[in-house]
Amino acid sequence: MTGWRSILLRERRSLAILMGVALSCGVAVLALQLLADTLSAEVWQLDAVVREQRVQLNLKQDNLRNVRSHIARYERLRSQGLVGTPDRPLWVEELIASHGRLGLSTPLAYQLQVPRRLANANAPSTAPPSQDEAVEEPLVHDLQFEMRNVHEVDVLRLIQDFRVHVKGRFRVNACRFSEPRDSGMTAQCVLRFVTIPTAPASNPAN
Amino acid sequence: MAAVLLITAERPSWWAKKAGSWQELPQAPEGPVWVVTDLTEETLVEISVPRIFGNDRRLFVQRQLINRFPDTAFRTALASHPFGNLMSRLAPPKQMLMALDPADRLKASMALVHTPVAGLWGISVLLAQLGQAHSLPDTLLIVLGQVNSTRIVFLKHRTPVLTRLIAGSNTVAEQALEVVRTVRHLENTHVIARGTGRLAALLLGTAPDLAPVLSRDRIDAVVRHGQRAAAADVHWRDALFDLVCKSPPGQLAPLSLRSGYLAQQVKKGARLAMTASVLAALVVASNSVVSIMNARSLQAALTSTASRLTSEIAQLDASIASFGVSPELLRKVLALDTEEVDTAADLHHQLAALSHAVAGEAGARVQTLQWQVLGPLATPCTLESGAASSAPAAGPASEPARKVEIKMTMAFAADVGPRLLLSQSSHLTERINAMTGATVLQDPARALRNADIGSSGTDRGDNQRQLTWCAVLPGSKQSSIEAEAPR
Repeated sequence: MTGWRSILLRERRSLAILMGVALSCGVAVLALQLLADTLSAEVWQLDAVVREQRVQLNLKQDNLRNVRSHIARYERLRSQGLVGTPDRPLWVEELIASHGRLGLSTPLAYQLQVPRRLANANAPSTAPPSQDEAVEEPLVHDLQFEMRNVHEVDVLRLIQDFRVHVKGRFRVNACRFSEPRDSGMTAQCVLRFVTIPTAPASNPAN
Repeated sequence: MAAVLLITAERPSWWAKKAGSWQELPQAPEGPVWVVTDLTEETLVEISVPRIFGNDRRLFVQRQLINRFPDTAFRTALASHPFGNLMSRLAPPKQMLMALDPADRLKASMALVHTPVAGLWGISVLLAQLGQAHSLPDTLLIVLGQVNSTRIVFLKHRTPVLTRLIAGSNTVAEQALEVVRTVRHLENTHVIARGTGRLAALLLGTAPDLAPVLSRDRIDAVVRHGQRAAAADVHWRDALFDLVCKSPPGQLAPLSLRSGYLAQQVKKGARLAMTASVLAALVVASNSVVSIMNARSLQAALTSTASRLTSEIAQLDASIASFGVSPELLRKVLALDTEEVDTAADLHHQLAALSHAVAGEAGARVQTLQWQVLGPLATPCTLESGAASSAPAAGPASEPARKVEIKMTMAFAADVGPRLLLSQSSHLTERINAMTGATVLQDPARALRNADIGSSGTDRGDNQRQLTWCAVLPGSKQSSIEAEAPR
């Protein structure tokens, strides 16, 4: 063993160079591998970003197509009061005006209930949602009216006239005709308005 | 160029291989030298070894070697050829030791050598390795005849157990005599059994007539199989020198004598290892370099694509923003209007259809009429019938749809008989059912047909009978169309 030690000591320079070269090679290989792995990870992340961007691009193209093809209808609905803060007193006034225009002599009783979320439309009346809560969330407003001694046709005419003149989108939710007499029946109807409130900043500037 | 130093009793000589054959050189060549000795000091000793293994066995043999040959550094333990049972193969009970003892003459010769010494082998060991060919018997005499001497080596179980160098015996008679004398010695020392069978002898460089002479003494000359082996038997020196240049086992020189050569080998090994390391690193790193280049190129392409997509997305955002409404709000507004207003059931249309159905019954009059839009999950016609209806609601069962419930109370004249009343109410039920998408859930005609039949009480002031229908109609224009389609 002593003999081998002296031989190895004699050739320590060669062995040191071998160690250095082997170490350098190892370090170089590891460094290149690390660099390759890092770059692969970056490329993978970049690829994921590009894929996500492509999805977004397709989505936005669809959105643009959708907006382009339906903007006219949207503007019409907006002008009809479906979007934004509704003018609720005007609805009542228009109902009275329609009643007057048709020359109906029977008295008209009405009640416009507090707005409710569309999801809770059939729940009992509760406090109206706050303006912040209800942004871009569909609301329903039930307008009830009652007339006595009126014929069915007159009720339908009233609703038709009201639909033509009121600034709002509604449908008839319920109607009850009872107490038939020669002079007519008692009619109780519920008209359901729908609106989507928007934040003031998002109101389009025409 | 490989060089061999042959040390004999006469003089040391240098040999080198030129043009395929070994030739003597006038002076020492450059480079490492393989030393072959052919001296009378070559000694073989057999020792007994207990059944010990591994390092213990090695240390035991080493101690025995030092004890047996304390005065020489030129000593070694020869490799044993396994034979016998398994235990004997794993731990041979006998071990051959070899040494050049005394080493004074050898040291004096080696003092003249100034080139690195690759190793030193006794010619007995080399001859034994020639005789260990599988084509030869395992018990063998090897006779090497030279100009001034004859070397005899005896192999038992392919292991050399005896070596002799006889000076001056170069005639057939002398060589035969020495061979026979050696055999007698082996018989006397019970190395081989006396008079049993014939012995084989490998004759190298001996006189041509030796074989017939030996044959008379029950010693048969054998040759190795194969053309090269046969040629080697003739040119024994070439064969031995070729063999020694392969550094076979049985090297005798101490490490200190070989340090120069071993240092050269270490340096050469280190250079080879360096080259191998660099080559291996290049091979391994080339994959990484290719990966890096590909990744760089892909990264550049992806970055460019990402920039382009970002720009396109920004343009689309600007285009969408120019309309002043977010796509989500627009979608929500359109959906709300379509679902809640546009496709909502038409009161006017359904009342007109109902009026048409009722108008066919003379004497019947609508007492109350309730038209109400119900949500998809609401159960129609439950209040007055007292139980949920079992009839299916309008619209597909798997996708609940909004529906319209119509409750209608009809008044019939009190004097209408049961059959006429049943007939009129049945007709009315049929006409309601005939309305688009309508399903009658509460049918008074069924009660008139199956239940008790009676008149109104005598104490009642009115003179009418009231029957109530409850039906469900499609709650939207779309479902009305769908309901109409199968008809």
